[in-house]
Amino acid sequence: MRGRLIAALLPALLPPLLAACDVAGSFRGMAVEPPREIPGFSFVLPGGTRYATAAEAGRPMLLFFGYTHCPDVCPTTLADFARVRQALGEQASRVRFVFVTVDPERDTPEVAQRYAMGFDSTFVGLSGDSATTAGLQQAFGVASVREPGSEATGYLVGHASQVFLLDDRGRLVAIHPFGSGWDALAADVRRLL
Amino acid sequence: MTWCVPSRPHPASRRPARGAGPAAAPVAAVALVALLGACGTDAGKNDTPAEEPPLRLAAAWARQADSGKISAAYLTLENRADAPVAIRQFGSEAVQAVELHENMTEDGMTHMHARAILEVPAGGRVTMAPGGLHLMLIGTQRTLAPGDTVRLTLEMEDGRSQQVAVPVQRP
Repeated sequence: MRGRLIAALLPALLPPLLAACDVAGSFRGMAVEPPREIPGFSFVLPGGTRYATAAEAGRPMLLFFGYTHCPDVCPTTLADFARVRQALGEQASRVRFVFVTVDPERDTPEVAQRYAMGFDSTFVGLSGDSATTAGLQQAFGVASVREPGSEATGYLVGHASQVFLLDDRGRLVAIHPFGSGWDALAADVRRLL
Repeated sequence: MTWCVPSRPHPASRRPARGAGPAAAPVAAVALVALLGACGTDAGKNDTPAEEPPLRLAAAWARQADSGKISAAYLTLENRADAPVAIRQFGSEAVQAVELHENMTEDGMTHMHARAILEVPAGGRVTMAPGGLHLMLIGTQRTLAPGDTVRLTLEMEDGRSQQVAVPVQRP
């Protein structure tokens, strides 16, 4: 019984293990070993078209959760994204830079898109309904929580501050905690190009 | 995390660069005092010479932002006096409100907390930086573009106040 179970699982386990060996130890961020499959989610863009976070062949993805009322960590991270994009030169067009708001109530699809594009016109800013937002966060193993602010700020949102790097098969391969540095991020993206 | 690391030397550090003339430090200090004094709304109104500002702005920048949005400013303040200086409020003509916040990151989740008082220790400095201590600029009254200046007023607990000019930068 146990033998049969292992035999059945082996084909499923081997590829991710081998893939992990391929790149293990060489990411400057925290390598995810084995890489974790992240299901794709669909977001409505301004104008009604849709954007899927699902994998695109040949295009790795950097993804960050934040919100536009965030004065510090979020703009710092998206500014780092812009530096990464600049450092990648011609290869940059192959990378998907994605910002997902954890505050869809205040950040409409228009607000989220405009915010992301303020850092670079190629960046994608996404705002989904609460189920989509929660589902995507859950897939990455993170969460966000609404916290009281002042009359001036309105509520604040505690949120994951890492940057997630996914390969072109939709697998999470590395995590960069806030403050890891844009150059480390650029180096890890280059590994996937 | 980078914000835990002691900050790099600031461009406007106390010591003049090697090779600068012996007069460089006093000249720089006088120029800075004059600049800071010029920011004060009361400058020149009194016959008595202006009191030396309690704090020295060693470095500062504010993040560019559209009108009606959120921004942040980061100051490095030095207190060369023998007594601590406590700032109880920040204000600015450029925004609706200024709040002192600090980010705390635990298990990868970042939370922002408001802080009521900023104390600059006697003979010490406070450094604000992305990911840590910062001034949240709420409701920008105009577009803050690189090259612009945001004037901030620092209200001390002892009733004194000081104005500082913060350059806007692209982050």
